Amino acid sequence: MPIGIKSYGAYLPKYMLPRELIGKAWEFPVVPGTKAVAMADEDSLTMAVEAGLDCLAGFDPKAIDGLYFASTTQVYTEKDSASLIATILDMRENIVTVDFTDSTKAGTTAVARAVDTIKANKDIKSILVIASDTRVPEPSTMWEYGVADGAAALLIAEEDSIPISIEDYYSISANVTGPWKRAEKDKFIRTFEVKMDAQFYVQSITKVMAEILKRNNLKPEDINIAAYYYDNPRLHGRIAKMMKFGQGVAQNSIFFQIGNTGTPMPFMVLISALRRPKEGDKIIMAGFGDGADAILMQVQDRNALRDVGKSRLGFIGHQKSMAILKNYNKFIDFKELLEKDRYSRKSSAVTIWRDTASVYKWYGLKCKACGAIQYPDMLRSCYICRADDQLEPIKLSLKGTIFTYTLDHLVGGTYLDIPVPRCVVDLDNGGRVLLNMTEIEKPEENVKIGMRIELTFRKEHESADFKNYYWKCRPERGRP
Amino acid sequence: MVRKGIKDQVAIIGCEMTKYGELWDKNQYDLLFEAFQGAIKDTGIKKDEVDASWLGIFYYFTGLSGGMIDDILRLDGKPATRTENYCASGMDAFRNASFAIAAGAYDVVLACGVEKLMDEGSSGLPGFKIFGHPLYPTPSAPAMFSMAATRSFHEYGWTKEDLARVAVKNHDNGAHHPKAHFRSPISIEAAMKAPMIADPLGRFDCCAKV
Repeated sequence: MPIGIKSYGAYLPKYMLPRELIGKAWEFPVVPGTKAVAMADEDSLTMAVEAGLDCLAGFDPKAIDGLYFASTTQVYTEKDSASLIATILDMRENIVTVDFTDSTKAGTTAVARAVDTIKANKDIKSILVIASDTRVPEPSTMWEYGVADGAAALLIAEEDSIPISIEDYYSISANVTGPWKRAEKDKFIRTFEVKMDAQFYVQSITKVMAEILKRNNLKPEDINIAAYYYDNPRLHGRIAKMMKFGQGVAQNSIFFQIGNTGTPMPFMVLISALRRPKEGDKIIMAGFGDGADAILMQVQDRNALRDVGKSRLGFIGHQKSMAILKNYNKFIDFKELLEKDRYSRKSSAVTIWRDTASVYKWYGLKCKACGAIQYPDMLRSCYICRADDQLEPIKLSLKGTIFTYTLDHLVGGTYLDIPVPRCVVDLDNGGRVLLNMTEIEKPEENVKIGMRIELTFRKEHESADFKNYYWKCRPERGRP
Repeated sequence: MVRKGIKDQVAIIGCEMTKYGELWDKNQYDLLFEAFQGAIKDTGIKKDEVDASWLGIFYYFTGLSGGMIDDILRLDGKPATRTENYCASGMDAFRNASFAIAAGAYDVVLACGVEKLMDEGSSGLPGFKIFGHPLYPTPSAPAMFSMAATRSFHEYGWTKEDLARVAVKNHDNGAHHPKAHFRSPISIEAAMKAPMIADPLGRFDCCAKV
């Protein structure tokens, strides 16, 4: 049975920072375009949840047998993110979860290892692979022009009819001189010499792609889509020429607006190229970072693939709902590069663990006596009919309508705009909840009773040196 | 069961309140002491005649137990209880003190309340740093009430001007009260244009921090 990509999803943060603002801030030669910037309440984990939700739209998360998470910006170095993401996505307990890290090729590596896992285990049929990164470039360096934030997800599955089959994969390992980031000491990515880095990059990525073509008796002109990691459009073009790919085969549309997102970069380049799939199209996807991976794929079912594309925000849907960040200093603030008092609150790992179903998986309660739905899920008595112990868990919707709200000027935490809308939301299919709103401009004009919102998983605070995550709402971006 | 209630069984025999204000030079002990002394003077009784006390405090930094009463007023170890019930903490001190009299447990009791928000050590409203759930949103007190205002505006067509009239009335009363924090009348326009605290509640729709 073929193994391949059953579904895909992406996440691009709401805001784009114009490169012109970076140039102005440091009196650098100005570079055109923008790059995607995550907000202060986002990290690689929250963005992975978004990409996962996008990818799993229409699928039962409990039917998936594993989650592989790839990131160079893991939120913990001891405590894996994959199991937490799987929990938030409401996946089963008896699944395999692994974090892939330390290299920007971790995403493609995770895909290859997912195929291995499925091949080797008859009871593992599908693995969700999510790559996400929030790498922080050092201010006043040229890294700032490229390094960006984002996440992408691929659902790898073994099925008779699969939209894209994975035909082969091949890796090389290379110990290179840079870049690097020391585990304890470095806040930013470092390197000796970017020219040397570029040379290693070009060598590894061309070698891995050439090798996989050779192994499969393919010529460069047989490839219809080449989606490989890049952090520099000029080098991207050079590689396309060296590989002798045909016109328009090497996908280069995302750097201008989004930048280089790190581990999810090859996934994003691929997803952005899946708009008009043709049956039989041969695809090569390659990741880079201390070596390189190449994955050879083929479009098997263009209609199924198109259906997946239509029902997801994917790459284009996110791109369309982005907004320009008007101020460079906001970016510095988002990345917490300014010394200032941060919002602190009570932190309790025990409370959060006990309330997992409610605060992470987004379950409420439905009354068996009267049908009323309420949240959170630790209550024992129905708020409508007052029946005791008649409440059973129910998965709540991640979309809703504002019932009432206030715009609170008395807030803690980092928000793009103050006041912060605090919203009482009537969820689709029942339940009324209180949620803070994020990513809203001019709330005085834009927040209204009856406004449609969708939930987004965000970082709340880090009191007691523990990551406290919870749901917020945002104006609809259209995530399914 | 016949509910008797406590009508006509309890009387207030003396009362006092301190002036509202930021009062940087006073602590909660000063305020409680002054209020108690005033109330005692009002009644004409001696402090030894007080049998028990109820003290309403919400914030932990003002005080945590009824024992504070004895520290300040030296009531010779008589029973003292702290009531804590958000903004109704003082009212509950009064209610429970009344029940004690009606029950026949005591003849004379003290019901009091004190809060010294300015002493928390940070600006703004005291944060929800130590209580509540670690994740659920914690709107400020004005924000919680303003959500009711937003919905009421929507349901009944009330406006910011209707709220402003309440603030104008309150300030007019304050202007006549020697112990009020603010003693100047305000106009409807001023009330409507005041800076927002939690939209639609502005500065004149909310209590000042004292």
